[in-house]
Amino acid sequence: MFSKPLVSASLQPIVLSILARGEAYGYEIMQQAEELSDGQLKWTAGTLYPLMHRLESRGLVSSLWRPSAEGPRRKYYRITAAGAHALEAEKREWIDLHAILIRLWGPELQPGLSLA
Amino acid sequence: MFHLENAISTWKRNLSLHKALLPEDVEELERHIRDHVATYVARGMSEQDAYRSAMERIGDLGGLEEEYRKVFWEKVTSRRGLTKQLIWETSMIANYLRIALRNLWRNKGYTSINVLGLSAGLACFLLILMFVRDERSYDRHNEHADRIVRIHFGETQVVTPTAAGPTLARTLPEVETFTRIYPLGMYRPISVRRGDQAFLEAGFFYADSTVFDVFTLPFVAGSPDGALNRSQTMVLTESMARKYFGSESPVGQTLSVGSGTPYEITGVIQDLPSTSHVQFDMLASFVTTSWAQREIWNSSNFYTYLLLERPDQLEGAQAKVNGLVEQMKVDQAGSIPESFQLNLYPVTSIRSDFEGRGVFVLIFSAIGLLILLIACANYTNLATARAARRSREVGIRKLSGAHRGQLSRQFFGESALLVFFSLLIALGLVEMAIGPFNQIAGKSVVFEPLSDPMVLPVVLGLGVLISFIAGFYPAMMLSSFEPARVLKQSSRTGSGGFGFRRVLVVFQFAVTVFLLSGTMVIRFQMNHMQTRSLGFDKDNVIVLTISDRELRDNYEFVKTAFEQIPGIQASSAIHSVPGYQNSGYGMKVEGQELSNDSADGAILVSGIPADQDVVEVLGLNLIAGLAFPKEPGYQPEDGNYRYLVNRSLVERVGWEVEDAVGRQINLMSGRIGVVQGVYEDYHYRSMHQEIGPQALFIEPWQFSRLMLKTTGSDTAGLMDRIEETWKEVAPGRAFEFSFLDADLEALYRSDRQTAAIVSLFCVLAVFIACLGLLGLASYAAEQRTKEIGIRKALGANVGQIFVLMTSELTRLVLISVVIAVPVAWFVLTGWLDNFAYRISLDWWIFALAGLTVLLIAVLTVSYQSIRAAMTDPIDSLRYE
Repeated sequence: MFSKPLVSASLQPIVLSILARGEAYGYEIMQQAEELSDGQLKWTAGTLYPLMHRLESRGLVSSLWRPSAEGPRRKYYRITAAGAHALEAEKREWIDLHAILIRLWGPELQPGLSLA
Repeated sequence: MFHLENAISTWKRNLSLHKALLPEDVEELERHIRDHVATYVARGMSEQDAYRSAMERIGDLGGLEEEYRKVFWEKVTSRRGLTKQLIWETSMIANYLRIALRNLWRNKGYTSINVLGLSAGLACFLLILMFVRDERSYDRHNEHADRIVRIHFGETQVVTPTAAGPTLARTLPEVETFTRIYPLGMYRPISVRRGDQAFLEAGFFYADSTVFDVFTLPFVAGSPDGALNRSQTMVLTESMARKYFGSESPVGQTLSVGSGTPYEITGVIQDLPSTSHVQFDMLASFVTTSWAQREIWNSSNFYTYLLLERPDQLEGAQAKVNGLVEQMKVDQAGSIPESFQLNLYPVTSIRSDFEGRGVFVLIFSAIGLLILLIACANYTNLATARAARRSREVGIRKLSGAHRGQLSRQFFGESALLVFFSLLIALGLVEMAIGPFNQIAGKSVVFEPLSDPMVLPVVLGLGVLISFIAGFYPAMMLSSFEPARVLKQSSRTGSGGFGFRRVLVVFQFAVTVFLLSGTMVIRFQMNHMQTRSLGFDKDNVIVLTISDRELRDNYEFVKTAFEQIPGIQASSAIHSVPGYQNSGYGMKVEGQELSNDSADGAILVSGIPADQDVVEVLGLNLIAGLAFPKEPGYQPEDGNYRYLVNRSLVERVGWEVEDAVGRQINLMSGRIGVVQGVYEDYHYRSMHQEIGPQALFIEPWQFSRLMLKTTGSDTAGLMDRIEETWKEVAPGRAFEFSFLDADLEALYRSDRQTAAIVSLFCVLAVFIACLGLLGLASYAAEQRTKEIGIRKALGANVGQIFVLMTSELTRLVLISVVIAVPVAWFVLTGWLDNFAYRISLDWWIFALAGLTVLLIAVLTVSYQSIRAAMTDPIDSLRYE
């Protein structure tokens, strides 16, 4: 399980990335995140839906009600061009951050280990 | 049996009640839950477990709402605008109110007890508030109120000599102007006539023309310029103008005053507000009187007011006055006594400080506040007692997603609704009570909630404040319940807030004991004063006014005329009647130093001119010597004065009663005479003051009242005959009379008013406290039904159960007595110090107050206790 700040920080890029693969409804997004993380990312509806509203109001995603074969209609979310753009920027940040950490933790800097 | 659709629809209903969600959002969430349930059911979970796990994954609903709210705000502000937002907020409040209303309606008994207590408490508070406001508004109607000062002679004397005003106005640059008011009618009523109508006017005053510059006296006819500049001019109040002139215009017409001097009416002013410390009906020009010709220091008959240039000059001006007085003592050594002193007194403090009403204002404010607190304590008590019942409701609400803030808002909503409803009733009560209240308090306070700009803010503020004070603790307590705990417990414990409730009950009882002992002490003191022997016979004495010169000079003829009437036993002309004999004279005894205080070694005695029949008419008790001899035509001259003196005078001088007769005394230089007899002390002034030395002497030109002693039978017929005789001996003069016992009653009017108001509010306080107790007792009984059932099943009898139910209460009352008594003792000792003749503050008064409160409390709860004790255990234990 990830720590709470990390979960919140990663929420938006993960959601946007999932939507970048194709449109999905809320429960689907949650399920995908859970499966992808082997159950390590367990969001609650209380965290996800407010984010979806925020993303929508900022124009990063758009939504659409679609009828469903099994039961009432569902609200589907789709990433917009602006959303894709924002994701791109965020992706770069995450990669940069990741690179820094890797550099810090690289084998040459680990005490007790020698390269030769 | 779990039913998914039911569960979801319940969840939705609660969500829509409590959450800031749009229908769309709810729909999306619902679909989310259905997806979740479907997924888990497909994995082999039961529908109920799947639903439960879905609920767990909804997350913290409190947080959810906050997040939704944030999103919502962005939404409304971005696309729907402010109106939507307002509609939303109001709909939420409307919702709280709807639920509150439902709750209150469902518990009618509880609600009515609460509303009754609160509205009675609020009505008392509002009444007291209006009383206090009226007291505090004294003399504030004057535009320059904060710049007007009255000159006092020493600490207590409010009348000053003619010279005081002009002298200070000349020497102090701070003084803008001064005015003198000569309250002649107050010393003796003046006969005022127009044609054949004549009245005696006690409100006939003289004033300098500057009176209109100092005081705010709006003219309705004529103008203040020059209104009182000329001799024999006069300004009337509106009601006087109506009394003498009806609908005619009075300006330019004349009234004849005293023995016929014509005064021209130069203006009509509005009636003085009841909140003016000085009250007059007609103001004649001061230049008319001979006093206006000379500035003298040795005769004090006038109120003198100064108008300062700025309000902050009072202290500086007083310092200069002190300097001036010192200088006068040096310049005119011998003729000015050492004790001579002039004090500037701010006019706005006269009512509260000088006349001592500030104490009452303080007492009543305190009582008002206490009653309000009792009413609040009632609400808090009842609400927390009911917590037991509502704990389940709270639990369920919390489970369905309500969080603490919403619940406490809900409970606040309930208390606010109750408070505002009670306020409405309270306003109605005040409207009904204001008339009787004015009568009791001797006031003329007007209650106009619609036009009075003070009412709305006060009522709203009070509503919010009380809702908060009374609702805070219950709201916090109720909303803090943990759902798991309250739902798991099958029995209703209701122990929450029990300690706090006890504190409140003790507080209520302490206040009640305090007010009750206060009421008793005030009553006893009143009784004490009314039953204490006055030392003279006040019954069957009719008092007529003979203040005009002609009647005074012929008083023997007038007396004889009345004495002819069958039913009149005796009559006596006198300067002022007992109870009002305040005039002071310096008395000297040749060759004896009586006092170290005054330069001439004189002592202050009450000197009352009276004729030879005074002893008979008042029934005075002579203890040495003889009464005045009957000697028609006797006129006193320096050297042949005749005196009757009281025991206190004899003791003050240091003689023995037996050898006082025949001694020579001198009153205020020029009245050398011999003591003819000594009479037992009588109360010649109010019981607030101690009996001091007094001397009676014959001096016809100072007589102004005629006392007629009657047999007491057929008073109505007698009055007719007295009036006939009056018309013969005093043609053209108004016939006005009073009864001596009624005049004496008037002395204690303000004491009686205080007593009446305090008793009234005390009774109400006890009533309100008992209401709360009644509610509390019924809840206590309800909660202990099972306990009582078990005890009865095990053999307890009704008596034992009754004791069980009331012993707790008894303990609380005892604690409150212990708290209240020292406070009451302290306050009441202070009040009794106002009286020279007072009751002693015995311990049994407090014991009685405590016992009474205990009795009332036990009676209040006994109905509930006995009912609980009589209940068949089968009924209460059946469902266990």
